[in-house]
Amino acid sequence: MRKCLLATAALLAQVPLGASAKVDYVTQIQPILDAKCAECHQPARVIDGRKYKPKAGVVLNSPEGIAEAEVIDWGRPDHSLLVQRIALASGHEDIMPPAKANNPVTPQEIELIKTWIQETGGAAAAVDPDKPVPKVSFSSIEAILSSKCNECHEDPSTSGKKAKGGLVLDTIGGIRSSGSVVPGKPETSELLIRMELPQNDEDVMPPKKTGKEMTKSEIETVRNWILGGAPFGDVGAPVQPVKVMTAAEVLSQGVKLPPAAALAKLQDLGASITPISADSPFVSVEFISGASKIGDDFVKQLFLIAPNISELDLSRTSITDAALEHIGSFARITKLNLANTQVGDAGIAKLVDLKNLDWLNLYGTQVSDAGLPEIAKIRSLKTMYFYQSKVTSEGLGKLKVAFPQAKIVGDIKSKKDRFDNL
Amino acid sequence: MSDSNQFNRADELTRRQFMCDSARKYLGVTLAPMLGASVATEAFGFTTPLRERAAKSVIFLNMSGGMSHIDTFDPKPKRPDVQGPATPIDTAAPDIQLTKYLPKTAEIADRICVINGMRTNQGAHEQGQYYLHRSYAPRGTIVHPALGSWVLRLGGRRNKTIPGYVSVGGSAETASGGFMGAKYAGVPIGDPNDGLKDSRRSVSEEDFNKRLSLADKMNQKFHGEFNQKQVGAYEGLYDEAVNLMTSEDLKAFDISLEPQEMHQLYGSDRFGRGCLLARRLIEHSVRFVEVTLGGWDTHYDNFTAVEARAAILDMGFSALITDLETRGLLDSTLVVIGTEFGRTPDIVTEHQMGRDHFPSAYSAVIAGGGVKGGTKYGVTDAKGKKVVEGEVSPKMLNATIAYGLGLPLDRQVMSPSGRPFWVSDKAEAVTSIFA
Repeated sequence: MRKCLLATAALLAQVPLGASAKVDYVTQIQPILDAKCAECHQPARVIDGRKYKPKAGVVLNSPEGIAEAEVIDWGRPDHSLLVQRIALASGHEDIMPPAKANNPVTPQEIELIKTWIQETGGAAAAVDPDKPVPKVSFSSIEAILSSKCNECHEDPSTSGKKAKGGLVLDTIGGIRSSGSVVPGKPETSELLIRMELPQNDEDVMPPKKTGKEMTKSEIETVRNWILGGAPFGDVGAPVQPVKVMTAAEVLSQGVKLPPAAALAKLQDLGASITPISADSPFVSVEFISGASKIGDDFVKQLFLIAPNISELDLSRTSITDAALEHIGSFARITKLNLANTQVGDAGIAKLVDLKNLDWLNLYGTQVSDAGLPEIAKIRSLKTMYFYQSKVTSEGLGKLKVAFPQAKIVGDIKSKKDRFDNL
Repeated sequence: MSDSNQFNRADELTRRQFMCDSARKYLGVTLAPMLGASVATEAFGFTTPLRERAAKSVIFLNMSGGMSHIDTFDPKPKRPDVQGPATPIDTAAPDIQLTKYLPKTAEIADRICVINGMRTNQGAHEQGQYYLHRSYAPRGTIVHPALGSWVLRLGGRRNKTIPGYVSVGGSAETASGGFMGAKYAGVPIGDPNDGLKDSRRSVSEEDFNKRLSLADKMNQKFHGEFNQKQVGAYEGLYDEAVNLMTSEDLKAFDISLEPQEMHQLYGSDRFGRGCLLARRLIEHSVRFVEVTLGGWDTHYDNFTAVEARAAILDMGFSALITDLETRGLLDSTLVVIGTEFGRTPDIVTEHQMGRDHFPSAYSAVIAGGGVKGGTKYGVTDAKGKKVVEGEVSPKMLNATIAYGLGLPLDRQVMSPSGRPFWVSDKAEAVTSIFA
C-alpha cells in the first residue's frame, strides 16, 4: 500500500494538482492510524465465524469513524482525546496503543497528528458565535436526574437500599466521585453516553423497562451542562463547544478545487464532471454518452484530478483490469461504478487500497467468487452489487458474513440474493 | 442558465415551428424539444445550499383518473365497511400494510416510503392532473411548465445526445413545457414498443449528408448577414437532431433489445413495457421519465376495476424497483407514484360498489434516490377520510422531488410576461423522508 501511495504522491508532484503542502490526511495521517490503531479500531467484522467489534465502539481508520467517534476537537490538538491518549507517558495504563501491543506512536507521528488537527480545524468553519452553548445550571440537571435516575441511583444513607451499580446521582458528591461526568467532555462522560444509546441497546439508561426514556431536549441539556464545564454552582461564562466535522469534511481537508484546465481537457475527452456539493472540492466523474469509446488510456488522464475524484462511474466503458491499477490509487474515491465492463478478479485485487470506498457496483462484470476475498479487504464498503457477475449465491453468502452491516445485492431471480441482508 | 431565456418569448414559437417544419421536410427529423444544450452542469457556480449527493433521475408513475387510496396504499383494517373486499396484507416492512391487490409491491415495501397524507384542492380530473404536474392551479392567462420541464430547466439534461424528459403513454398536454416552451417539454411516446418516432433517417446516408451540407451552405450566408445569438441557436436544432440520430444511446428507446425474462418481469401490458422503457432510459441518464397508467376513475364497480389496475401497477412498479436496485440505480433514481386525488371511503352501493372523487385524503409513494425505505409519512383517520398528521399537497410532493434531485426550490423563473414562478410555487419539501 505504501508503495502505491508513494507512486501516487510522485505522480501528484509532477503535475499541478489538488493536494496542498499542508498535512494530508490520506497520504500522511491515514497510514499512521492504519498501522497503529486500526487493528483494534476498525469497523465490526467477522473472521472464521467470530465477531470482532471495534474497541470502545471507536473506529479510527476511516474519516467517517473519526467523525463519529468525536475523539478530535478540531483546531485544538491538546483537547483532543486521540492526542491525549497517544501522548501519555510510556507505561501509563491508559496509553494508546496499549503497552502490550508494543507498537507506540512515535513523537514525530504525534507531532504530525497534532499539526493536522490544528490545521484542519483552522480551515474548517469557525464555531458560530451566534450560537454559544446555552448556559445550564445544575438545578436543571438535578430536576432531570431526580425524575429519570434517582429511583435506582439514590444515596443509600437516605434510601436505605443499595444504589444500582454503586452509582449515586442524587448528591453532588455522588456525581463527582462516580467519574461519570467529565467536565467539558460530553463524548467521554458515561452519564451522557449511556443516555444516548439506542433504545434497543441493553446498556441504555434509564433501562428500557422503566419506561423513562430520555427526551432529546433532556439529553441536550445534559450535554450542554457538561460542555459548559459541568458546574455545580452558579453558571459562569460558557466554554467553547467542541468542533465537530463530518467525514466528507475530514476527507476534503487540504484538497484544492480541481484545475480548470484539467477539467476542460477531461470534458473534451467525454467526461461529465459535476461537483459533489456547493463548497466541496470533490467531483463526480461519469461518462454519459459515448461511454464505449472510453478505454484504459483515458483512465490514465484522470490523474489530472485524482485527489478530487469522490465518485467515479465507468459503467459501460471499454476499460479492462489494467485501468484498475490506476484507479486503485485514487485514495479519496467513495463510490465506484464498474457495471457492465470487462473487469474481473485480477482488476478487483488492485482496489484493496481504496480505504474510503463505500459503494461498489460490479453488476455485469467478470468478477467471480475468487475475487471476493480481495473485496473483503476493503473494510469501508457498505453497499455492493453483483447482479449478472460470475459470483455465486454461495460466494455472496460468505461475503454477507464478512460484512454483516453492508447491503449486498445479488441476483434478480433468487429472492434470497436479490436484496441485502439488512 | 447560459441561454438567458432567449426562447421564452411567445412570438418566437411560430418561427421555431417554421424551423421544425423545415427540418422535418429537408432532413427527415421531427424532434423539436431537443433544441438547446444542457445547463447548470458548468461546475462550481452554485451558491444555494442544496441536497448533497442528490438523486440524478426521476421516474414518475402517473395514476390517471384518481387512484383509490384505501384499496391500495392506505388500507383501513379496523373498518371493514370502508375497506370492502380489498383486504389488507402484511409486507416486507413491519410498519407498512397494503391491500391484497398489491402482493408484489408488498415484497419490496422495505424499499418504499408511503405518503398517506396527500390532500389537494382540485376535485376534477383535468384540474387535478394539472396541479399534480405543475404545482399551480390552472389559469386562463398562462400555462405553467410541467415538473419534468422544471427539472430540465433547473438541473439540465444529463445525456446531451437524447431527450432529457420523456413521457410514455400520457397526453401531450401532460408533458407540455408551458411558458418554458417546447425546448423543455417532454417527448411523448405512445406505445413503448415503437420507441422514439422519426428518429431514424428516412433517406440514405449519402443523401442525408448532402442535404445537410447544402443546408449548411444556405445557413452560412444567412448567418453572415444576421450574425445574432438567436440565429445561431436555431442552428443548434440541426446539430441536436443530428446528434440524436447518430447517438449510440438511441438504442435506449428500443425495448426489443431486452431479454425475454425482463419482459416477463415487467408484464406485457403497455404500462409494464413503459416501466421497462423507463429503466432503459434511466440507464442512459435521461433525467425525467413519466409513465401513465389510466383507468383509475372507478365510480362504478370500483373493486373489479381497481383490482385490474392495481395488478398492472403492482407488476410494473415492483419490477422497476427490483430491477433498478439490482443494477445499482435505485440509489440515484427517485421513483414516484402520484395521482390527482383519492376516492371516497364510503362505498356507493347503488353504483355496484363504486367510489367517487375524493381530494381530502389520498396516497402517493416515493422510493429510491436516498429515500428511507419501509417508512410511512402522514396519517389519515380511521376511515381514511381526513389527514390527521403530515399533510402533503401536490406542490409539496413536487418540492420533495425537486429537493431529492438537489434542485433549488427558491430559484425563480420569469414567464414571457414577466411574472415570477417557482418549481413548487414556494411550497416546502418533506425532507425528513430522506436518509
